[in-house]
Amino acid sequence: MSAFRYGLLLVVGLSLAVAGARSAANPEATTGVTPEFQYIGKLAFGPEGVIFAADAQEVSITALQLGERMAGGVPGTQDVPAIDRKVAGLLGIDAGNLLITDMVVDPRTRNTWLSVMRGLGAGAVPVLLRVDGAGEIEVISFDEVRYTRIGVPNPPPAETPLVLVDGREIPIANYPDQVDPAGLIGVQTITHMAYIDGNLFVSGLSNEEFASKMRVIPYPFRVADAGTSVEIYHGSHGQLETFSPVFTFVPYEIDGEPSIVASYLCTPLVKFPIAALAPGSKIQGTTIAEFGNRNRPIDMIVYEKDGQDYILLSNNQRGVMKVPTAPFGAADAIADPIPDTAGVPFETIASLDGVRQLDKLDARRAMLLVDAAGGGLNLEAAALP
Amino acid sequence: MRQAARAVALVAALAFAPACSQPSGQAPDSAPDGPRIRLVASPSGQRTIDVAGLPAADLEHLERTAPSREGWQAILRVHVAQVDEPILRDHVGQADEPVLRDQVAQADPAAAELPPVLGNYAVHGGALRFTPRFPFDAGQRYAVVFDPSSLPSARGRSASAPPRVLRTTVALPAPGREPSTRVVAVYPTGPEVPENHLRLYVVFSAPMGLGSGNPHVRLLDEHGEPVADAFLPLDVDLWNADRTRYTVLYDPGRVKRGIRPNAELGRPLSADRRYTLAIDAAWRDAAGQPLVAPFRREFRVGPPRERALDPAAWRLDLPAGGTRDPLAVRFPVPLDYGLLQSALLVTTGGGRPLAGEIRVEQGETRWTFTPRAPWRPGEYQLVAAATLEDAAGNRIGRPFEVGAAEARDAERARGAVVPFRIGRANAPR
Repeated sequence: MSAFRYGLLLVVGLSLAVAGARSAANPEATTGVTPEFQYIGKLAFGPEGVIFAADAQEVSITALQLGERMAGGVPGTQDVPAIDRKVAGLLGIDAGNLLITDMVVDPRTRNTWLSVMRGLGAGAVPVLLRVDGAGEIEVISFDEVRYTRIGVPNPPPAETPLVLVDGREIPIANYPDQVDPAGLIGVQTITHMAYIDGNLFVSGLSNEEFASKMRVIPYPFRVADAGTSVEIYHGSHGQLETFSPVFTFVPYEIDGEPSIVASYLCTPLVKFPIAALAPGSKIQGTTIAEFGNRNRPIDMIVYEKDGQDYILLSNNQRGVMKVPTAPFGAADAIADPIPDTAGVPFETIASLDGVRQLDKLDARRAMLLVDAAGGGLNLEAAALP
Repeated sequence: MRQAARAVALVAALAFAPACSQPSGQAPDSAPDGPRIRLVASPSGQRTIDVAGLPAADLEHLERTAPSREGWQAILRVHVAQVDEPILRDHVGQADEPVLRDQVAQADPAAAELPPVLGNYAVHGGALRFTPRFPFDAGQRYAVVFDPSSLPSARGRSASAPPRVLRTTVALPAPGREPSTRVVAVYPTGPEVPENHLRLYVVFSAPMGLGSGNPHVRLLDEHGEPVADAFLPLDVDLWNADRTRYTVLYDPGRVKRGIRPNAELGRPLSADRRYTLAIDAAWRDAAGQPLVAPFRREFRVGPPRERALDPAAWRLDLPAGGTRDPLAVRFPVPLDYGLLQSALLVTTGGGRPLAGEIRVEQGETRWTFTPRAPWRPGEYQLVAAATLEDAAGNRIGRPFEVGAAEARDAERARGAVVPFRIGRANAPR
């Protein structure tokens, strides 16, 4: 340990090993028929005939081109009590071995879609289901379904230029898989997806680092273009919060400007303009509300009632909140410490208790996956408050 | 073929009826030539439920009319049986001759609530065959009801002698596994963590199941009482690719100063106190088995670490050229175990990465790299990615605690390059 030359160069913009996952090794969109999944998680609807499904195990997003097969027998969704037991029964398992990973309503047919894992062990099978207006529960077959798939986020490019403080760049080839294939890049869980005007917006969570990143992926998925990642900061009480992950978000136009309203862990509501989501950018969102701590937002929808727009936000600890959007444009960033909640006003809807999943069914109703009295889950519509 | 058949060592059971106390292998209520429900394994291992012994006229009718799904289900229904349904475990027949006894059913209690199991119906090999859409689960019981009322053979029966409805419960034997998975490590491994500790990793000896880990991990204080709301209230679990490493996050809102949860609740850990991380054994692995044993790790808490990482303070122990001895890097504070797997690498002076093996040792204060090929004398670089953190989330040039004043600076993610030189073999270093 005597005499080795000790030089240290600080480098800026080094982005090695921050993106992708081992098995998301394919930077190009793949196309094919009859997709297979290791895991099926978050869902989102795309252009007509397309549903996106996230595979958190493989860290990929698959666009299923179902075409006319998107529609169930009857438009709408009929309530299904004990939906978990009924889905489990159809699939031939006990409800205790069923994991419901997402619930979304198709805005065109108003049918409700569920992504589930059949089983909790090594042989668990991902299954996509649809509930129609007659309460019919149908398993969506992947047979002969055309798809495109993209790994999220991008695996690192073959060489990453490191920009040194003096402005020089040196190329660093990426770490070979042989060294540590499992640990090279953290597996991410995709927390939410939304398709907005030709782009799929994706928020995620890493198992090794906090970061409020959002990926913007053009659809149709293109070869060698898995989109871009932006880092979103928001301020809070004089601190710069860079770590809290986005859990759910909705597109919303604020004073004529297309924006994203995102809810973070513990539970700030943050707005930022979509136009600011430039590739590789780091943007600062504006914190417009704080809804309380020890809480994780689950789902968020926008609706109109009596000429006013509202956001309905479900949470894992603090129930369902109704937030009028009118003050969003003029809302000041929250700057000072506050006792509990602050910012734009909101109302907790006591009647909506035990909500696990939430989506908009139609102009007047929300579709809920909600705790049933005596255990289990019900699929039921509720009037928008 | 014989092996395949033995693999079908089926368990059949009769439910509810007093007749279940009959000796096994007999079907006293069934005419010897009447319909029989069997759980059958095809040569490929696919399990089906067959109704054998049907009159030829019934089979012809089914083939000719090709009933709708509802029509098939009216004749043969398979339901998930209630878990707590009484069951008489009965080995029936020889291992290579699975046979089920049938039982007249008065009612089908599962039908009222649950839809029939999805599957395909067909006439196959002289029997009515149900092939489930998803393979039957080992250990799961299925209630099977055969109702021939709509078949030709039932026509002409009088009301006093209606067609006989058969009911039975079938189950593939549950795999007789013993718990075998255990917690093999918890990182950090050192006896002390900083008060602003952010992240733990629990490593298992085998892949774990999809069930949530949240209910199984607790932080206990010095009196053995659970520390409330210590960890992040996540409903999603964070695993590595093969589900052997589970990430536990302290609530960062409580850890980070100035954020409201911190102001209200304080940090989950307090300096100079002792805590125990407790993992209960009920957590199921990928084989559905609980852990071999619960796990406990006691640790003490030291002062918070709030300084950015400084690679200038790392000490490199250089190997000799021509050997495959490891390069060792020592850190003044423990770094994050997970990130040490991915955020440090060794390259040639020209930036070409070296293949080799990483080890993390001595309470995450020592990182070694053993190259696959012997070191050639020359220039090398240790490259640290901007994501590298210590146990408290501090990065190179950027502490976890960042005020708005440092916002501009904080937006810069920094990595570091530490050049080093490998001398000739046996040359003094």
